[in-house]
Amino acid sequence: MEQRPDSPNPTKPEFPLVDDELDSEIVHHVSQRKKRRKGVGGEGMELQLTSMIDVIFQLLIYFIITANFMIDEGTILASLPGNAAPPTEEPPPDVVPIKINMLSSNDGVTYKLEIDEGMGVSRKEVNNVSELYAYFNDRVGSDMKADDPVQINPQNDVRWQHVVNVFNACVRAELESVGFAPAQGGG
Amino acid sequence: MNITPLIDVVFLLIVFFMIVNNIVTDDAPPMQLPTLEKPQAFAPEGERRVVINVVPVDSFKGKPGPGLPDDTVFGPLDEPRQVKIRHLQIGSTKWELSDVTGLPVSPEKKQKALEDFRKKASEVIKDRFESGSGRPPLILLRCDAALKYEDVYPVLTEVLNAMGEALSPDIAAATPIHIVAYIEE
Repeated sequence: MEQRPDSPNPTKPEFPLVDDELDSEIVHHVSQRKKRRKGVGGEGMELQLTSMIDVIFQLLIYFIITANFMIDEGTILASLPGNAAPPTEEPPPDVVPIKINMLSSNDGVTYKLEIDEGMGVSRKEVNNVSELYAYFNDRVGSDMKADDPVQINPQNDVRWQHVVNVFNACVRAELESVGFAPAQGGG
Repeated sequence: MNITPLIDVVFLLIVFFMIVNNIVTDDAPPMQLPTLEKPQAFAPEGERRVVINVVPVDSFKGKPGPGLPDDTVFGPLDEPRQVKIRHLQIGSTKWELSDVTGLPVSPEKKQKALEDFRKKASEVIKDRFESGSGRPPLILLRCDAALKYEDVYPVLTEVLNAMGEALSPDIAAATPIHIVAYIEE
């Protein structure tokens, strides 16, 4: 490297001001802002969806867990007489409904049947709903018709659970004319 | 990977569960329905239905077993549970028959509540009937198993009266009430 003749320190080398051969080795610094600006409206811009999807799945799981579809509920049909249809004809005098009297006790509920057999009223006590069903199942088709009236007569403090259970037993025995007696004391 | 359709489907699912949850909560407030021995209950089919809820003050936990003594089903004898009707409910409308502690409202308020309940039930039944091209709607009675018959019977009477007001006599006589209970699966 030749020294310039007018350099202040002739022994100290100086960098050349311009050199075409060394231009390719020089690194030109480009700022990050310029790099990002080039990507506006192009491939450089990305929308981060990961967090949103996480929140969405959390919400979905919450609503799935708290959803209630009532899948274990069913209904029993009860065609009950009421004020809807006034009787158009007098019921035959010899048809007296079989009464299922339900009495609450310490052990639960007792079931006492009152059956009008023309000559008098006979009473029969059954221990549980299964026996009640068996009684009607044996009689229906033999000495009792399916549309003979049956009246469920619970005491006031009998729980709804037992009343519906008796009604279910009557439906199971294929009785077609089952009604509820008014609650005692006017209801 | 294009995840836009996935996000759309997930949003639809969220909206679905939000709507279903609200509808079911209005029509099925929590209570303990009767559990039957060899149930003859079935899942009713029909879109137009009127669900009448008789909600108790104190609904016990767990299902009662059929045939068990009353005290083991509903609580020990030394802690008698006086289960009274808290309110009647159709959709989101409620008519209170006792306060939170089970103390019944005055007889005048109770009478007024039952009358308002009957009027609303009649309106809803008539509305469902007219929107169903002349077919009567399903009338479901959801009643807690622990309630006493003396409390439930007046409600049953009012429901029958509402049917008589909303429907013609022939149609009302042919329209059954569906008593809701648990079914076996």
